[in-house]
Amino acid sequence: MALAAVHGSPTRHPWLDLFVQSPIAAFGDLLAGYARIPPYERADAPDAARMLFGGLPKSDPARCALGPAILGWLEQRRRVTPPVGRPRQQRWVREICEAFEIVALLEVADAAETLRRQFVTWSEWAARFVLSPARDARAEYLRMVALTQPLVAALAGPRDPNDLAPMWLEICRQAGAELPRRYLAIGLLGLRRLQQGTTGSDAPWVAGLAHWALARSPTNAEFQAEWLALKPLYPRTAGRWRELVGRLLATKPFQDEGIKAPGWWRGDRDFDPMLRQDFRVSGAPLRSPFPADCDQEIERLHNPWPVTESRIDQLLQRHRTYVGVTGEGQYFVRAIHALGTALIWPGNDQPHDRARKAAVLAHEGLGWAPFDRYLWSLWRDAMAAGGALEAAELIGWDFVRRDPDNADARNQLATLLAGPLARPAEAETLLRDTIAAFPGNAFARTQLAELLIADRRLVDAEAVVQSAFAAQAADEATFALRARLQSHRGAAQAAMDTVRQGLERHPSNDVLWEYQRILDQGRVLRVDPVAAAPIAAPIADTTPDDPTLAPVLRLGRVRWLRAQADSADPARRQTALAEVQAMLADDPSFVYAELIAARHGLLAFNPDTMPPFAVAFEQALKDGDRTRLDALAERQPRLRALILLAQALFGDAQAAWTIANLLNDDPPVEEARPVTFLRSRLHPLLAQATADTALGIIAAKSNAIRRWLYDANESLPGQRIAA
Amino acid sequence: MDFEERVSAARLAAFEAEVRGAETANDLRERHVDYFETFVTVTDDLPHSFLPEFEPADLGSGSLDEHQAIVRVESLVRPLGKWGQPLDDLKRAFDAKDEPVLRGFLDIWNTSNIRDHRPAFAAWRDQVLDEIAAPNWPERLRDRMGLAHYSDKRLPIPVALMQYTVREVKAEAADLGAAIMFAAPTVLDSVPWEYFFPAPATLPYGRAMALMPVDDEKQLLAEMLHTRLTYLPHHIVGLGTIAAPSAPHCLKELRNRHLLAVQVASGRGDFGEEMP
Repeated sequence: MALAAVHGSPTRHPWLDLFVQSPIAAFGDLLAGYARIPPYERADAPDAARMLFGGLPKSDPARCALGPAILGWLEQRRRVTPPVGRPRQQRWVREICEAFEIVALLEVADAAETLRRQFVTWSEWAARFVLSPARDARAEYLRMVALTQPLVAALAGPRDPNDLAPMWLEICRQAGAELPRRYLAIGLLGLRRLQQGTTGSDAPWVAGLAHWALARSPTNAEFQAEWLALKPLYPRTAGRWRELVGRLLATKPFQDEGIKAPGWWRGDRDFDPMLRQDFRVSGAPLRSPFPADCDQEIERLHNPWPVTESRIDQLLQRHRTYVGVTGEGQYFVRAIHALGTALIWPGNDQPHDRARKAAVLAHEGLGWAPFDRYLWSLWRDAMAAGGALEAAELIGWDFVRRDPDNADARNQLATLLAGPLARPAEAETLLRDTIAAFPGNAFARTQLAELLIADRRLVDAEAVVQSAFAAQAADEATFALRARLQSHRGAAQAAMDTVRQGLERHPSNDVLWEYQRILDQGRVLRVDPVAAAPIAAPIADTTPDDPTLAPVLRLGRVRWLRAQADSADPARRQTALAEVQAMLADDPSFVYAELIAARHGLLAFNPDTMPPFAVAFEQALKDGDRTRLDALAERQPRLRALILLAQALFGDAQAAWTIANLLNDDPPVEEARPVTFLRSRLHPLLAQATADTALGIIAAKSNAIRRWLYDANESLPGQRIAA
Repeated sequence: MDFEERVSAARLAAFEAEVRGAETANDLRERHVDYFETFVTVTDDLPHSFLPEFEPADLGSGSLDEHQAIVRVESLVRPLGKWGQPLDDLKRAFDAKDEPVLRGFLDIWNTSNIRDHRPAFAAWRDQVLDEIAAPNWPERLRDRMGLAHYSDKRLPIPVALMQYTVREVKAEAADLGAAIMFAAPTVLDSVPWEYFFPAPATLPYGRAMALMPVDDEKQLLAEMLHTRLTYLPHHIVGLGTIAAPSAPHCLKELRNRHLLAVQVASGRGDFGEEMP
């Protein structure tokens, strides 16, 4: 063999010509170890890739083909069922890890940008493949995203180059709890690689460390080990460190927990002066803009939009600076909600631009508070006000999915369906479903009755009202509604009786007093429905060109399909399930679609191919497979309540009693949200249960409980930090 | 397998089960890679290299003097990439004996996808003292240990010289439940690679094929495999850069000269076969 080609180390390895001819296949060979790349066969793929591609000019055809090759290979792999058996699975995961690693190691900008833009898809997929610290595709994906933030920012990819800051902080908080402890380094790395100068802090990782400590209460030695591992890499004077830490610990989250500076930094001698009684932190205290600052801007919203937008941006930039230093997003979120809500109120110039601004802000706020109900509502409503009705609807459906305990999300979506979207039949179905799920929710009943009145189905409307009284789900609006219906059909005395009963219960209700006055005058109450809050007249229904929106819209679409699949109409059911199957054909790793397919027996499921938890749970629930459920409980201890409830449904008395006991315990501080949802649903049922009665109670309500399990499980896909 | 005397019948059967059906030389090569990637480069189990049922060439796991020092050269390209800092930062911490920084770096490395449970190729420290003492120790060790994949004209390779004791390896192996933690390497403990050279079973240890032609069997370096060791700050005894490629050489000459040395060392003139 002529070895000059190898050991003379030419500038370009001959294998690269093969690579250019068939980049995806060749890249796969490189990862698999098949590539003939002497003398680098012994090297792991990332090291070999560095030797092969690392010194090439950016314009080299092989370098140009690398990004598409990596993406192409990852796309192919995402569509293939993983192998069975741990030995082969560990190799499968290793290759995925190394593909992500190569993106960061070689700074493959186009691949990094795409993988970041499709964050939800890739992070959720990678989360399936966590076998051990050395075979953890989620960790390697997140690490790649962390490391390539400057690269992606330089491409002007994300709207906000630091939009992942809240996620890195959340990873820090969860390290050692929901996430393995080793993820702290990844969270801190993410913060260390934020765009300098835009975060408000010259060391945002310090906030990450503090939030980790606040959430996890490490020992002094553990904290010092983390702190001192990074401190020397960021040369600052002792005074500067004291200032940074002092100002950070003076903010609300730490003050609320009684943390006194230097807090966890006690033990580092640079912080000894902070222990003195007379110590004062230098520099102005960190302070978020006040709510009054926000109110002031709201009062000026009548000004021309360019002026208004500029002022809003200035205010929010002050918030961002505060958040960047402290990691504390609650004031920012509140300001966004207040401003956004005011922005979409009609009456000012450029309403669609204002609405789009509100939508962008709502989305940014959700980065800091992913479950904030006001922000989800704002996002949906701002989309509608901006003319993106389809996007608004799908955001509304995804809001319903993510927050299954929130009846308002459903009622608001019904308003959108019945009004701007002009699909009252779907609104009716949704409201009836909401009444079944939340029998005590008076608003859904009132809203349904109003919808029926608008459709001139007054008998049906009155039946809804009567059922509200029967279910003890009547509020002052229900009394008013019944009075209107009774008065309209000529039952004046009955209407007056209803108004009087209503006033006994709700003596300060102005509407009822007004109705009494009208009826006293012998007049008839108007039955026409109360007008919904106005929104700006939609322009053409357009979905904004925002790649971060796509995953939410896709999830929302599946939630809508789930509703269709639950329909009594076989044709609608069939059409919906066909669309789910088409989605899976397009993307076999789309977890939410897999889950729905599993529920309806459409999934070729193999429990030995590393399915995501939600899909495996759904299939085990369908199959009544208690052995697989037990295995899932070990995989996700935080979701044990789902497993226990499923086992109780299958007749396990011990599981039923355990559930009843868990309900009587105080919920853990960081209870998983699906479990919190189940707690709220089950508590009224099982509060008085005994060991002898718990199983019977669950059996008697099995249909409702199965549905709650569906809802709880469906809330799992699409999380920012996929489990 | 005539060239490889240390693979037991049981391991050979496991290997053959993986490669069965291979029809061409390339098939066989790729299935060898499959075997290696599936059963040797393992995540947190024991690789076939140390499983008693495969009768590895145990180097006396139980009887080795526990205070002997072992060395290994590690490329730092990937660990530094994951740490997010350059070699200079690590060097500063190393020179200052800044244990928290070194530990932070090692924690990331130890818990990453790099450090799985594949067998580690290593050598006894006292066999490479001259190389370690040389100013260009990274290149000298690379050449002596036959690390041909650490060679490039354009890209410097940051490396660490890791040093630890038999005792440390044994302690961690006990946690892993490994009865055998030191073994002589076989052809199945690597991907097919022209720089791997099996040693006769009569020789203790393997013999690394250096990247310069050997003139004397005394130049052969004993190499071994051992089970995974979690690196600690005191294991880093040197940091440097492989900045120059290995000297140009002819692989045939390397292999034939190495074969001759191995034959002399083992007294086995019948071992192996020269490349024509």
